Amino acid sequence: MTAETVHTELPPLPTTRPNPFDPPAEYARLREEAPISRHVWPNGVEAWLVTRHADVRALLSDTRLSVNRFASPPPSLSLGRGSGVMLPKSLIGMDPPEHTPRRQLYVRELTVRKILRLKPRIEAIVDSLVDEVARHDPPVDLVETFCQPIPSLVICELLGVPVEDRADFQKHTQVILGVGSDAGRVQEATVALMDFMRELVEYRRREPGDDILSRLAVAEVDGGPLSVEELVGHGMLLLIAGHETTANMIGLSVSTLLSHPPALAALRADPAGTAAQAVEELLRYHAVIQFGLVRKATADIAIGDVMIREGDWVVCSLASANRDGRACPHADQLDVHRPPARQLSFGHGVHQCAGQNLARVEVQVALTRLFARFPNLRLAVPFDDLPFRTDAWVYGLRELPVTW
Amino acid sequence: MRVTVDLDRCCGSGQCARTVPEVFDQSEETGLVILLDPTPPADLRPDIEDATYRCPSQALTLH
Repeated sequence: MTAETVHTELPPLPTTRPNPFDPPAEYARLREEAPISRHVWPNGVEAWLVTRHADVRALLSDTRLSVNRFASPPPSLSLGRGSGVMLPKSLIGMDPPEHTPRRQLYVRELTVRKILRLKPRIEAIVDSLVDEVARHDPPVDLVETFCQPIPSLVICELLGVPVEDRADFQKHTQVILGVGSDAGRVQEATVALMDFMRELVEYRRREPGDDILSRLAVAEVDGGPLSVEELVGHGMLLLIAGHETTANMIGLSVSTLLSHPPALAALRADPAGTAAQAVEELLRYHAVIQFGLVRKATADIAIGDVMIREGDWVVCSLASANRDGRACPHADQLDVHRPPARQLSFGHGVHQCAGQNLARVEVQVALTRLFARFPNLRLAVPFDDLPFRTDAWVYGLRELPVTW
Repeated sequence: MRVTVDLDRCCGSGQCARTVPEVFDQSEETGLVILLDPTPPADLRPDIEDATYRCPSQALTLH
């Protein structure tokens, strides 16, 4: 760090939520008074925090901001559980033009039309999990029995993980994603999953099936196949990116609807007509990537009243952008009847979540099937006792005990 | 009303196909936008404006 970048007077990143469903109150003041301003992150790194919807949108589609975070430590919470295992580079660490043809290999698998074709399988997976929950005596923790297995089983299906390997696969992903897992176990499970993914990639190169990994394994980019290491990276990204986010979004959505009876009543009265709009609003209300998306400026960028300098870190707060009254009236209220919300929870620009069409349908199916099956579903503990993941990169619930 | 798409900008997020399936689809090969109807009926204008706003990579233009 050079002398001129040390500003000890900079305020710390605001992180304290007034309640579990609202982002830090400080964001509202920043949107009015200092919409793009510098803060010190818990690990000591300084970064610009972008809080208005329009600025977040503009900067995330600005090609002068890079996703390459490898050259120096990015702003972070330093509370995270680094696994100590470096995952191979994948889409989220690549800028165009390297990113461009590879992203197409993902998005062609996750088009609106393909996800619609997959929907009956998602419904079958969710229904079997709902049946399993119903066989328990309440109270039951929905995070473990419902929220986490849904994306896990769906991604097994998409990646072509053989049925006999799925139990192991799920066990390892639960360890990686479990907030309570210690670093040693996370590292072990990550290594096991990478070994598993490497074997699966090599197998699918010899015997391609009808799945994403097989098509990635035989795909050509710039006239040649992708290396096994890169394929492992893509497999791990597909696994992890769609997993923790979706699982936490389902848990948050269930707890939010249980706490907002009119919204839940609307969903129950007309699931087919309401689910898509309700989930869009829930996505706006809860940006699970709670601290935002991290980028690095590769050039000086003048925006608003500030000049972001080449080399500066920029964090686009999705949670703040979603609550910006300029983009969404009465933004702090959950309103499942509003026209489809303009939310940025999937990001914006060429790195916008490639799995968003899948995630939407997973959450929609999860909510409609769960509430249809359990008309008397309710929290098994007082709301104030619910354990939220306040210090995790992906916000959500550690446990969601329910009864019926 | 005329709509154009820029395949060099498109990143295949599918927001247009989700918002206005009558006008936009996605390629099975690349996931990128397919323009089904370059001169859509006027009553679709609000939806197409919405899709244009939602497009993450400014690949749609409404003339």
